[in-house]
Amino acid sequence: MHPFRLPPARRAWWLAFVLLLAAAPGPAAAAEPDPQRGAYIFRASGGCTCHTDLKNGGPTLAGGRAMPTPFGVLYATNITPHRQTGLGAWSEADFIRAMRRGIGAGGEHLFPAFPYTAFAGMTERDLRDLWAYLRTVPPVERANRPDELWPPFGWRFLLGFWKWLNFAPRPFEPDPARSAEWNRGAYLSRHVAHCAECHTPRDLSGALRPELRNAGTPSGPEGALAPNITPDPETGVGNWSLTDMTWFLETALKPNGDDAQSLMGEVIEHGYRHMTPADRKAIAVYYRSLPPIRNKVQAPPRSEGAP
Amino acid sequence: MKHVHRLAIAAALALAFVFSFSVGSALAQDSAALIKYRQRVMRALSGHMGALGEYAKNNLPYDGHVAVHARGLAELSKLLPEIFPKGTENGKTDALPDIWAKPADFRKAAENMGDEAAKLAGMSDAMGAKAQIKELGKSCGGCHKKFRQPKEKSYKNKK
Repeated sequence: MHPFRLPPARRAWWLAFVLLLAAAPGPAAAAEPDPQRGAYIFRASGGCTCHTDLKNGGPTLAGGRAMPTPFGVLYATNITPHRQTGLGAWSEADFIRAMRRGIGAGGEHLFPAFPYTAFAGMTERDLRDLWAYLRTVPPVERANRPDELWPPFGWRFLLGFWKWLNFAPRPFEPDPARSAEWNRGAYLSRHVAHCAECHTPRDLSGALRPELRNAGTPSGPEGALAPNITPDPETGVGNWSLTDMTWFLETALKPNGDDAQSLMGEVIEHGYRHMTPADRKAIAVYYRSLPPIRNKVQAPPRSEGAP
Repeated sequence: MKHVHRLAIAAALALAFVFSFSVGSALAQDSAALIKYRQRVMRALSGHMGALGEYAKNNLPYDGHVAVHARGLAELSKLLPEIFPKGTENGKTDALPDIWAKPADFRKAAENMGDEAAKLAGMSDAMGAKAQIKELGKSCGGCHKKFRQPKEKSYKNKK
């Protein structure tokens, strides 16, 4: 007999039974996403400044920032929850697919200037919480600016081939021989703060050169010089103490009394300084454990009379 | 008397003419020295700032020294608008043209650093001082972001 046609007492029992089923705890992955935890992950990722046109005072996360690459100029997208011009129509599954596999909501390949190559290793819980946080950011109406890539680099279908060559997404696997702190640092650095994405030179196809991972490049993101952050004493940060590193990640102040320039200053200001001291220490512990790579990073000489 | 008078004027004019050349070339010679001078001033700033950083991050027993470094930084900040004269825009320098194109902005950024340093100099509580050292550190960027070449465009990049 249909529950609504039951006599009131039986109906009440039926309702209680249904509610009890609904309230029963499910598997861990079904836990409510936590936007506050997501806000922390957002900060640990560097505060997503790539998606804010800081130079021109653009609204937060609304895109428009120009990123010159060897393949042309890319414009970062609007990732606010605006329905028409942002991610308002995206589902959580769309977001996770973008972060893990570099595929947009329309099924299109995304250019790896968006470092899904790093984010792919984030845990499902972190991704869900991050998405929950992004949904709380003020929506801004700002249409995405079309990229200006030289053919054939703008042909998205070719990215399928690029991914076949260069992208094998794997979840983060903790190393049981290392401490919990080291593993936390490895996870944060490789997949959230994504340090190597800026601090590694790239090959002709724009993929990271694995033998020089973290060893710096004179022409990194937006053409900026990114130093060698492996513990090589002459060409890297081998002379930095653990405290030098954690203080730097919090304040952007280097042991020589100078401050970090441009992009690194941004990700510290908007991101890493908001992390817990324990997480910054974990990243430093991880970095001090890396094999030193001797690689002197130097840009070509400035031409006479150049501005 | 008149003849001597005209001779004196002619000699004075000739000297002035010759002198006008040497002023120009003197500035050209001195611009390298002027640039080196201001780079030493920047070194002095980073000396104090670096010492404050070592103190704060390693909890060194030098609470009494903080005011010394802070006063040093506050005093040095007043020199900044004076040590970028016209004629020193080019050469072995990472100074950006906006220093001369936007002097009011440059002065304001230097004053901001001085204010943060003065605030630190006036503090007596160590915990508060450590927090203020971080704030002071942020003021470096106030000049560097707008008025200093990024590393990839530094004059220091040699062949």
